[in-house]
Amino acid sequence: MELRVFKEHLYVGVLSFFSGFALTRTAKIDDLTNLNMVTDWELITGNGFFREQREQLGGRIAENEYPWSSAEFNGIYFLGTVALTETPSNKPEHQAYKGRAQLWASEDGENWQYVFNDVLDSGAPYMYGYRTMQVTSDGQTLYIGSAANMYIPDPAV
Amino acid sequence: MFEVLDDGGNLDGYDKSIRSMCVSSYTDRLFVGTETYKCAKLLVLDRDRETGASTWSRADPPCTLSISSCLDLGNGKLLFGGWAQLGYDIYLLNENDQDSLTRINTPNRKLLWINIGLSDGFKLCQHDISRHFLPFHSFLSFTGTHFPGSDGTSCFQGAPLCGSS
Repeated sequence: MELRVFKEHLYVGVLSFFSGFALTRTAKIDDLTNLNMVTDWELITGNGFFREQREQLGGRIAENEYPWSSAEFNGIYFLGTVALTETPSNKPEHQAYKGRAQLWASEDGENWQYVFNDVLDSGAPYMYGYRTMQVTSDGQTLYIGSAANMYIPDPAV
Repeated sequence: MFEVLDDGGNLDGYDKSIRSMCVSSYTDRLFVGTETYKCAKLLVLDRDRETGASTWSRADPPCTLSISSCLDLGNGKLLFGGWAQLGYDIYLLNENDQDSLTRINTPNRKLLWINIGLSDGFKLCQHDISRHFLPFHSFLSFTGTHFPGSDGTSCFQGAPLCGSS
């Protein structure tokens, strides 16, 4: 479960093995004990950014089962996923991203952009999750720790 | 120098990991959530900086499998997220009210978790288990029972414990 306060909203991210994670938020952060479970929560995604993947990557490449880590950095909400299950796709443009966790970013918490980055996208294969993030106290650096599947042989060896 | 803290007798063999920790910016107390084979614990460490004396107390929520997340909101308010069978709960802890816990209303807790509309437990047959879980058993553990499915496959009923969630 990911809990984060970002720009006067409380965000709650929870896993789903079947549909992709859910990310919800509420603006009633000062009245958390009196929340209406229907009207006070806004669902940002209920399927691991399915729509966003389709719009930005041309299709759903990862199910994004977990929202595993997050950080606020330079006023941007970064969220790293776990991608355990590939969504079948034979499109050549998807091959580089298959089986990989995804890093997403948002300036407002509502609209999310896939973070294209040569380092991240060409890093270790089988990197299934962004496990942890930390921002330095001066706000100048974001550190991201990842996880790779130890049971898959390292193709470089 | 590191030292091993005396847990005050609060931890036992059912606690398999220290799953989450938060320090209150209001009181500087340490909150420790466990992941468990039974009911997770929420331990509170109040440490005197001058004498080093430690006092443990407990603020356990209703039985949950893991207190996997916490968030310091300031002013003596902290959030704790716990996994339960087929769902999750979030509690607001109030340090100004003897560490009282209040469960906050979150949307459709069961359906958000499994998202497929099975509300009274779920059943996965072999194909689904393999597809979703088996390659990743290193960080998943399970509670529940295996039983033969109506189609002859081996099925599993229960809930995965998300050891790294």
